[in-house]
Amino acid sequence: MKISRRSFLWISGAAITGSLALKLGCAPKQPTTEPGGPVDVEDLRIQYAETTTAICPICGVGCGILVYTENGKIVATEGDPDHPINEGALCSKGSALFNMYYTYNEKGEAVPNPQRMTKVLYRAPKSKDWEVKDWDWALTTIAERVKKTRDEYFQEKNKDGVTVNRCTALAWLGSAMCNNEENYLFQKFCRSLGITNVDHCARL
Amino acid sequence: MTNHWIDYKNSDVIMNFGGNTAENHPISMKWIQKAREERGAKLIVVDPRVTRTAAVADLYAPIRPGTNIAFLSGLINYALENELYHKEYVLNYTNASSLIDPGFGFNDGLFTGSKAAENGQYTYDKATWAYQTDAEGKTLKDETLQDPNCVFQLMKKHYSRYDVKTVSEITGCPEDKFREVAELFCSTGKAGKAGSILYAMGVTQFTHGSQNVRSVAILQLLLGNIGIAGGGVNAQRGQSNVQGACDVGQLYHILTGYMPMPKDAEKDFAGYNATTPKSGYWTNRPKFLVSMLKAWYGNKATSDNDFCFDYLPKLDKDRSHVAMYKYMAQGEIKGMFCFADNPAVGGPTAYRKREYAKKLDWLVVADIFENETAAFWKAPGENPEEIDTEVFLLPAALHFEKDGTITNSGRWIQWRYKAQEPLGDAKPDLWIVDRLFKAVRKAYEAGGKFPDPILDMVWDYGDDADAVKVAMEINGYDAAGALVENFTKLADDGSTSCGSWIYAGYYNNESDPPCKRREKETEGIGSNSKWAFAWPVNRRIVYNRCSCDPEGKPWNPELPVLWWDGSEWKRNDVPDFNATVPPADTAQKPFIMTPELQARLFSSSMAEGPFPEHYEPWESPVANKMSKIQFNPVSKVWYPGDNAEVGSSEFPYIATSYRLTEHYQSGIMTRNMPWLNEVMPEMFVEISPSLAGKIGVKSGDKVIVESKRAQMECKVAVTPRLKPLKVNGEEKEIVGMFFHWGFMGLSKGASANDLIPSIGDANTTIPEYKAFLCNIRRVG
Amino acid sequence: MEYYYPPSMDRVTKEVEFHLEKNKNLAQIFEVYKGILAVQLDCLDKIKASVILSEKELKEYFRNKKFLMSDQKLEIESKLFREILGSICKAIKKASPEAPESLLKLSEAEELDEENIQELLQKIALYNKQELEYFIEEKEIDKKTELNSEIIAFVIFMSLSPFYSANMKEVREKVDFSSWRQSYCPVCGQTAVIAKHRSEDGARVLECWLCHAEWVYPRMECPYCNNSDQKKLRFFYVTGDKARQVHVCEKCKRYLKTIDSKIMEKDVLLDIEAIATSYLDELAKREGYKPPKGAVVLN
Repeated sequence: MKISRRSFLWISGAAITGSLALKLGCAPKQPTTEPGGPVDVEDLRIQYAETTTAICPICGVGCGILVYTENGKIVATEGDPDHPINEGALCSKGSALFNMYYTYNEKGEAVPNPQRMTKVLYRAPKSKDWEVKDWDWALTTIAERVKKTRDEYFQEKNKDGVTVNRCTALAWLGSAMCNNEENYLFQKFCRSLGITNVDHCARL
Repeated sequence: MTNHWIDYKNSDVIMNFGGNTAENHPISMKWIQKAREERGAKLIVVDPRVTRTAAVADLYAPIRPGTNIAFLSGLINYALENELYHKEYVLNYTNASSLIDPGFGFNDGLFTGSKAAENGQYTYDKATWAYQTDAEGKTLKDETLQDPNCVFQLMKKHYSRYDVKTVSEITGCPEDKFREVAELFCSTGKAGKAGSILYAMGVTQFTHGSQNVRSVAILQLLLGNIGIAGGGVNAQRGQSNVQGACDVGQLYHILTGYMPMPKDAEKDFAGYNATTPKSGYWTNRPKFLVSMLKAWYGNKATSDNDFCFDYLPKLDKDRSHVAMYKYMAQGEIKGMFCFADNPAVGGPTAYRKREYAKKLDWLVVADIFENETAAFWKAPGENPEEIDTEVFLLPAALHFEKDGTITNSGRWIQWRYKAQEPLGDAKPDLWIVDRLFKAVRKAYEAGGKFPDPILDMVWDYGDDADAVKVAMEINGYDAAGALVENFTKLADDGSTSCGSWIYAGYYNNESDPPCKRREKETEGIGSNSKWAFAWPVNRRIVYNRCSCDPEGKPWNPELPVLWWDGSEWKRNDVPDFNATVPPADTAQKPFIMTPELQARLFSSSMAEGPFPEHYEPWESPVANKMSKIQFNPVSKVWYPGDNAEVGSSEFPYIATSYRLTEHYQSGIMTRNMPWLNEVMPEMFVEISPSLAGKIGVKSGDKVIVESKRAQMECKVAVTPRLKPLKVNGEEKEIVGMFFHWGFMGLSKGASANDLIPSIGDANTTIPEYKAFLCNIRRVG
Repeated sequence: MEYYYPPSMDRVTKEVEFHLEKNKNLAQIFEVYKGILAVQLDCLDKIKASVILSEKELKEYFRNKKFLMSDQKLEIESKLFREILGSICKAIKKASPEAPESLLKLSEAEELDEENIQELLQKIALYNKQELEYFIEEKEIDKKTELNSEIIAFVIFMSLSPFYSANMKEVREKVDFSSWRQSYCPVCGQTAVIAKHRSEDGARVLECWLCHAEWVYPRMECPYCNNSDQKKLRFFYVTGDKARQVHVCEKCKRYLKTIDSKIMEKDVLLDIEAIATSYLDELAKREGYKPPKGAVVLN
């Protein structure tokens, strides 16, 4: 499909419609596009992008962030202009968030931050190194460890005969970096196991 | 925060006390600047260092780390002596007129009821810290405020000791500067004027941190600055969801929504409920507890089995961070989970966190980068072959790779959408905890020690756990099975469920959940009520009955939060009182969460005493000028002998710690971001030019900084931001240190927290990061 | 907020030159645009606009989602209107010699004399291009002036624009449009068809093509159907030119051309961008999206 003189649509700002431009004799003589002259519109490559809203994971101000993705990958982040607190602005850490996800290689291409954890790692007693493991193994093994420790140290009643149902040999630190729904499940899990050593960085 | 970030713009005087808004909460600074530009507001900064917030302030006053109570008590005394307090507010909205037991008293640093305990510390029998009551148990009052046993007179007596000269000698703040601060801030004691106090860890991280906060609250109550627009006690939270993690109960001493953990002494459900406050909104606690138990144990929870109350573990003793690590050192703790937390750098005496981890049988860490807590066995100087701990390091998804909410300092619960799939095998923490629970439950299906709480637990969030499903459980359901509108609809008969009562309402419908709302306010006082959801019940300024006089007329008609128009309450916010009745009915009941229904200028709930009293930090260069009691008499000493002696010549300098704008907490996130490392590449400490002269260093030189507990090597920056302070007529130098570094990540460096003592506040056990003693010397 | 209307001719020339460097074919259409704009800017000072409503009353309109002209009559001085119309016709003809000769006689046409013009202006109060064209055809103004009804309607709108702009400026001095959150103009009610992301903060600013009012509209919501489901909103751009975007709504299938001034690192004039990015309209059509309903954009 060439951009024909007839199909040259409207020009909203000046309200000069395509057919009107023709009638006024000022429609482009050739297909119009950018840059560098006539190109068939069908030859123009387009890229779709999505925007999602997020909240900055750094401090307690709770600034809004717009996260741009293309083909399912984050390509940029910036301050959310509609957020009533930050109104589009971000601090040095907030502005750099993209860098937590992606860094640039020597060729200047964005690549996933090579420092990120992408595999389950296991360190055996006395070992000098991590071993790569899969999730199934890790979940099953951890569950075994939890059960062993809990079964060994679980206390149903204290010395006065009061039901206490706790296991003080287990501990769980949650985090101010995790979501509410995550912390909620952490402590729900803890309490189901009888863990009383429960804390997170709020106390630090 | 009692108020919220945007509300800063409504202030007349803002005092940044123990916080550094410009560097640590940079974006919120614009709301301070807006108040200054549009209202001519004044900014006061009280800080040991000329921070970048101080650099733009109208008034800066220095303070010696660890002397906040002396400073604030001086301000309270100034307001009382010069009658700058808000009389009508104090009389109606606080317990100023309540009469206290005639046996109550204070002598040489101790309140009545003290008893000597271990390590030279004390315990209190609080019997004399009580109200005088009539035959029906009603508190006696003297509305003239003249009775020598009324709170107001006791307060005047207690605080009269904090005269300007004494305060100046303790804090190192020159007398004239102190007077300027007092005069300016106390100018907000008039009706129609708003003063806000913004604080952060510079108020909380002390052995007397809670009493620091109380001092802030007492001052604000005296000046009538609570519950009004532009006022408040505003904790600027350092982490994005530190508020929310507390709200949903990720703490040892509370369940969800700040309900206390059951304790051994309470024995059972009836015993727990017997501790329910007798008046105030907390009388509803059984409804919140039963609703939580229903959310957890569903049909298994019935009135016949006390709604499975006994499935909850009971608390035997302090199980907070410092305590927990002590128990770990003693071998009590065998297995530990650590999600997105890095105590091996962030904890007090951090190197011991690495040391004690060796005592564990197993450790599970989930994080986005390999942190020092997981890699403790690789720390410099360690021999992995001698370390038996098994470590599982689980790859966690980043924040924008998952759905869910976080809660900011203003209590706004905001939804964050997933933007991309997690990298590699990384998974959201929600997925991880869900799968872990399922794996444990599966293991218990074959039997084990008391498996009932695990097997009976309601746990149904889909194959790949869905944050929406969890959110709906937290929000709760009403008796009809619909998402509960708010917590006023909860019941104690088992007909309703709710994961965390204060969050009821945040996800109360599926099509337009309040936490996802994004409508910015265009007119009003900045409440932005249609943006996200603020707990409780979308209230943006708590205690807001106090924004009006007893007749319901706003103290400041220009910034009305609520007002009585003669026939009904009009509102710019959700009322924090019964707004279906005329103002007279609520005139003396504005604080619905206290049993008194009034704010407590005198409170028996604190461990140290009803009024804050100045004690020196655990490590101090001077003896306590106020009394023979050197430091918080009821703080637990976990490591006797771990502190430098008073006025130590070995550790002659005051040390404090703080943050950089470019790095974050233990640094594990930011030290793995090349852009930030480029701007702020390495660890350093700051000292004054005079101290630099004394120890013979210039900026960029390597130094060794040493405390009683550890030493570290790093670079030094010589800066006029720090100046020696005159304490009791003697100049004292301060060493300031950043604490973002560790031995992992792209940028590595010494951990300042290695030097910090493991001693905590007597109420919250938050460690004393902000004031200790050190020595500093040049390397080579 | 910083406003971009009225722009200086210098700025207009510079921005037009920038586009012409990339696409010379737009030269003539830009000449026409500049010719019209010069007349409009020139006469702005001659228009006496007065807004009788108080700040409070204006705010009440906006609070009720009511645009001002929905019941406020705009006083238009017919003599001045005819003068402007004449100048605009001349400017068009000068810039585009191929334009019909009869254009030059339009302002003298009997149908636009004192009596008839008031009726015409009343029709215009409907703010509907189609209506106006029907009226023109019904009254056979097109036949009598030997001009196409579309041309007449266009010229009339262009001649009215300064009156609307002058009025809008008066309104703006009393009250800003920060409480306005609609796809249509708070003053004259025209549907916005182009937007920008403001360079200072990235906020989406819609602009009225007729009176040039600018107002902020939330980024994460379709202005035309209020859809705020983030999964049903996206945008596309031509590879290599990320600043010129087409934001589309999968719910109503409408699109909004948007210039991202943050990416561009400067704020640009939307009238000019609208002309220069006509290929985006073509692409939007190809992708299955429609311009907003009620916009004066029919071809």
